Amino acid sequence: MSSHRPNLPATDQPLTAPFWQAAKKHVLTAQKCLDCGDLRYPALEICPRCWSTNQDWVEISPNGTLWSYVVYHRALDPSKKNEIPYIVGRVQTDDGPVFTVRLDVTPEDAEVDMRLTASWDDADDEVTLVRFTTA
Amino acid sequence: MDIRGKVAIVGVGHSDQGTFPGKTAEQLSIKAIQSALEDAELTKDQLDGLITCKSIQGNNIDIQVGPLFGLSPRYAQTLDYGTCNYSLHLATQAIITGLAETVVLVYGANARSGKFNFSAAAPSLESASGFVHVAGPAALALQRHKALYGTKEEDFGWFAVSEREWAQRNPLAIFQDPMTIDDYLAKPYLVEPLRREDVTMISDGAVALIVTSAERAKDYPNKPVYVLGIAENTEVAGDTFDDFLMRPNIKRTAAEIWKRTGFTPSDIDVLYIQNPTAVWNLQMVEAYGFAPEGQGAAWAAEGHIRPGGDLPLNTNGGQLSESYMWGWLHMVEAVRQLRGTVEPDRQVPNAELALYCSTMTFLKSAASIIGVNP
Repeated sequence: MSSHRPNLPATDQPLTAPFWQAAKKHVLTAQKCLDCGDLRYPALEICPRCWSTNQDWVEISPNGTLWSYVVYHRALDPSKKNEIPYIVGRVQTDDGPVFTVRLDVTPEDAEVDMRLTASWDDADDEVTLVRFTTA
Repeated sequence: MDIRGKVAIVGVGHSDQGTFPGKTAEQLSIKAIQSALEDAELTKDQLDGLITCKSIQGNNIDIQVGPLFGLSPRYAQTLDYGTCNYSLHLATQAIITGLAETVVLVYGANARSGKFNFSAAAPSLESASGFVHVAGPAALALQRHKALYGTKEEDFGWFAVSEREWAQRNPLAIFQDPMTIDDYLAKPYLVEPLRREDVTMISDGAVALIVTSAERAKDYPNKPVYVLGIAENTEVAGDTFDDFLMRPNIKRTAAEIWKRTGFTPSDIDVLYIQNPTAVWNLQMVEAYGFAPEGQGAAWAAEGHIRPGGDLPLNTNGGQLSESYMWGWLHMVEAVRQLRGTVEPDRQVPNAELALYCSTMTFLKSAASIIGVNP
């Protein structure tokens, strides 16, 4: 495990705790409405399609397609200054939910519409961040 | 309802632009209101409406500006995100419905001296991944545009370069150093494929406009600039589909403004686009039909938008070179161009019709067409 990093999200919030628990096991999940089936990330308190509050987390495909990517050359968040340049991609998973997270792909190898699969960054004992790497 | 020519802009004003430590957004707003009143040759007791625009820190609401304004008009409102377009639309509605007759609209901000953190975000998966600042999603949209249409950076750079050329003709502009396309291409990336030059500066200042009914407008000293059409659209449900960052709501606003006014892109003499990043210019010149879809950057590189071009864009220098002001100075410049009163080397000859397009990040879009003929 790497040492603790600043600005990590809280993993104990009722709305999102199941996502972080699954991430710790390197399993990608999304919130699903148990009434209408709407599947989404990030989570919402009320289903925006049918307004049901009857929701749960389900495992989704870790595979997806790269919609686009960017390379941060300047540490716009100063806590990331030791990490620049770093690459962030917007990934549409095969089940629909979109994640905008770090890629384990070099800028030279990154290509819009390339296939990717989830990889995992155990940031500390509590937080595991999903990333995506070449499928 | 046809709103064409019922309302006119009769005064424009602003504070100095730059870094003003110790000056609040509200203090700066009063400076701008004073300047707009002088322009319209009015006194404050002749105003019966006040519409303020919140600053990004949440200040400058009507009841904060009110005590310094020193007057309680019958109508007062605040918009969270004016970009001047929403403020002008609200003023137009207030005047047409009789809620007010002569309204001052004002925006004030001290985000620069207040050292506002534009990268601040509640800790989340995205922020922990380093996805912060508006340059992030804007750069994602540009990268996608490059992949879909073959957009080249040496073409896209002309949005920033053209704004700098205009800024060099505008004494108010903060960034006036010459910048060629080669200079631009030699600059380092901020969030690749965006460079620092593609992203707005942050500056302190305030801007105000005075809007009144067309009947009243004839009594004022300035050539009235009439509101000829307004349109808005939204995506307030948020990021729920994969092309969200391409902002299809802008196309809906564009379709609406052309339909409601009967004008077409070729009728527009001067174009203004509120632009926290140059990606906004790219998306809007395409969405409004000035350039073919996917060809906005190549079109810009043809020189249409530069001084001397056939569709001058952001003749004030825009947010990339003039000042921050959330697009408010774009509207001021549009009014002055239509009056024919800017410096001769910046004046667009015979400018009679202007379009101002703005957005609230990826969530809303708005447009106004203003002109000298009601």
